[in-house]
Formats: sequence, C-alpha cells, structure tokens
Amino acid sequence: MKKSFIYTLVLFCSLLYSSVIVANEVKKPIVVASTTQIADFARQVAGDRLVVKSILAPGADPHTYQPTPDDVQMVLDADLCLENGLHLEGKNWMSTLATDAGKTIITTTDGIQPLSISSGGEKVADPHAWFSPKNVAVYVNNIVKGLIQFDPDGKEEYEARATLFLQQLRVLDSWVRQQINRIPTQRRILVTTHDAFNYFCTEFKLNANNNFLSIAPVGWSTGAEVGGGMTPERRRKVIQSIKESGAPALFVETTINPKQIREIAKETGVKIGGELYSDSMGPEDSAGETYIGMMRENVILIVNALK
Amino acid sequence: MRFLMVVAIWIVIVGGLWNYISHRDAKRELIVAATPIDLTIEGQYTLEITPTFSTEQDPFALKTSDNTASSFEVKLNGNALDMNVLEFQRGETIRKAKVGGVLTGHNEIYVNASPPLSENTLEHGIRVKFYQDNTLIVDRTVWADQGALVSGTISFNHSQTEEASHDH
Repeated sequence: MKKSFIYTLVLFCSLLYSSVIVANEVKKPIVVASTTQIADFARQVAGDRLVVKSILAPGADPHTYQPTPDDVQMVLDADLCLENGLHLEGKNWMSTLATDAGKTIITTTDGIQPLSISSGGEKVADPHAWFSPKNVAVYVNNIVKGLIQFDPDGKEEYEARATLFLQQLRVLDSWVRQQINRIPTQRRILVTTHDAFNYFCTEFKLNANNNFLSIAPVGWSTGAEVGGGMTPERRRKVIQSIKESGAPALFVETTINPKQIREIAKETGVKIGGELYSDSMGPEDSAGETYIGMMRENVILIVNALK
Repeated sequence: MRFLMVVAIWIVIVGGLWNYISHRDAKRELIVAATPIDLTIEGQYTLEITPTFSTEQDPFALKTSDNTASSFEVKLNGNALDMNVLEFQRGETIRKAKVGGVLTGHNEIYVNASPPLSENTLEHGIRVKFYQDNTLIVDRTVWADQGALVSGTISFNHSQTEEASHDH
C-alpha cells in the first residue's frame, strides 16, 4: 500500500513537472535580420514578444560576407526576414537567402532618399543610411509596419516600444549636433577607412571641403562592386585631401583591416584618432552593442580627436 | 491489481486538480465589473495653450497606417482635444472654449508637441492655462530641452466645493 502511494506520488509529480515545462516552452516567432544594426532596431520594437537574431556577428563586414550553412538554417527557421537593402549585403546575400527559403523579407531602407555617390563615372546609392538618426526613424517605421502585418495582435506593443525608441533617436540626433558643434568648423574633417560616413557627414556637417561627404581610401563597399574597394587614384586623392585640409586625425573602423589607414597615417604624419563602429555594432557587453551606444561612442571619439 | 490501484488514484488526483482549476477560473468570470461612477463636473471650462516655438512635422514620429503624424497633441483626462488649428505658432495663444470632461478630484492635462530640430540648443516650453468660467484654476508650463519633444502631464485637483468658493 505504501509502495503504491509512492508510485502515485512520483507519477503525479513527473506529470506536473512535464506540463510546466511544456507550458514554458511556447515557441516565439523568429525574426532574422541581416546586420547587427537592423537586429537592434527590431529588438527595440519587438521586445520579448519575438526572438530577433542577426546573421552578421558583431565586427563582421556585410559587403564581403559569405553566408554559411548555419545562416541558411537560421533563415529556414525564421518567420520574417529583414535586410538593409541598397546593396549593403554584398551580392544581395540576404534577399537571396530569404527568397530561397520562401520567407517574407522587408527592406528596411524603403522610403529613404539615398545619397548618390559618384565613383569612376558611375552613380551608386550609398547603403549606410543608419548614420543619420532621421533615416533610422524610417527603418523603425518600416519594421513596425512589417511586424504589425506579420503579427496584428502585437500592434499596440510594437507601436508603444517604437514611440519610445523614436524619441530616443530624436534626442540622440540633437545630442550629436551639440557634440559636433564643440569641434571648430575648420577641424571638422572626418577621414575613415571606407566611404561609410557620407550620411553622417551630410547630416552633421563634416568635411565641408568634400561637399559634406566621406573622405576614405576605400569606396562605399569593401567588396568588388562598382565604386567599391581601393584604387591607387582614390588613395592618392585621399592623401592629397588630408594634406590640404590639415585633418587632425584619421579613423580606423571595427569591420575593416586597419592596415591601409595606418599606412596613410604614417605617410601623412597624422595620428590615428581611434576605431569607429561602422558597418557593424560592438560585441555584447561593449559600449557599442546597441545603435545608440555605437553612435554615442563614435561621436565621443570623433570629438575628442578633432576638437 | 496494485498497478490498477495506482492508475485509479492517479486519475482521482489529476481529475480533482483539473476540476478545481476549471471551476476556479469559472468563478472569476462571474465577477461583474463595477460600473464607473460619472464624476464629470458641469461648467464652462476654457483651455489656453501658448508655446515658445512653432511646431513642425516630427521626422521621428511613428507613421503607421492609422496613425498620422501630428506635430502636437492635447488631451484632458486621456481624451484628445481638438484645438482647431493644424500647427502651433511661436508665442501665439490658442483658446479652446467649452471644454468638457472635467472630473471631480484628480484631473490631467497632457500636452505633446514637436519643436523644430534646428532649435535643439534652446529650451522650449508650453504654457497651459485652464479656466473655470473666468477663474484661473491651472497655470503651469511644461519644459523640454536638448531637442526632445515638449511633453508632459499637468495634474490638478478640482472639486465642487472649490468651484463654489470660486464663484464668490
């Protein structure tokens, strides 16, 4: 009798435990973003309602990235995909992954008026639109619309979170202007490894001598696209521009080999001002692990080096 | 025999637990929500809003399908007030007469407006005045700086007795 009571108790407890486990393991929909920035924007909107994953790891370069079998599986498991677009993802790897897996993909830069860069007689749309917080507001609105379409029940949640994030972006925009204003106008010269900072220079008025566009030895892409990579002509022009403008510092980027810019620094005698987050945010637990953190750290570094 | 007894006891326990849970939830549904008491005070109320800035469309506004981006918003106790203008102009006072929905006790006026981003180095504010008949009962200013939206809630207590004393 005693034995049967113990059997009953064990059976009951194990049944109760397994039902609790099953209840806690409700599968959340998965959103897969191509880059760390887009994943951050999506997390700010989705909160814990959805699982947001990024294909690119912090520090990875979207222009030259080659998807792995794990990425293919990640997209196959996804309910919704997000990409930057404007050919940031070299050879459109994100839209190819999503199309092959039959998944819906949202191009988060839709509606942004892209900056046009002239390179080798060709016009190219600059994909680094997140360097203007106003453009990020467009990214966020596209993500909100996409998430509402995918999950209409979450509309109020998504809109509430997005409203907070948009206000943070507004304050960030204003703060960046105040900080850049600390640099004397003739010293506002931003030289970086690749042409990622056109939107930043245009929005916050740096590089007046270059029509408020980036000065960089490597083109808009580190890959082999039209206008991408480094040519001897570009390198010569950048060195000339550094000498003429009296740039106080040069900046390396977290996603690109710093060798080229270090060589130019040596050749021109200009110091390295530090390492900027550009095509990717910082690793977990770093100050640049979020978009706002990344922008804040970049601006502090730029102001300290140029003022 | 022993196994059958174990299964029988198990069915009794789990069945009892299921029965308890389903009836407990059913009881909850029987609770009837209390009908809110209407605390609205009748009277002639007027709201005056004076911003230190001209509003402009906020590039950081949420623009979902049924949510048109407005550059300002005024609410009384959670209900939007139509101020009959599209934009605020710097220093211009906008009056809204015959404001309804004032409650006995705690009341809130919420204002939210987007000052120009180009004036991000300035502090901006909205002065809010609220009158009962011609008596000023609220006069407060909501401030913001560093390019943030001018957004805030002004709370005030209002009662019938206060109303009576204002009449004298």
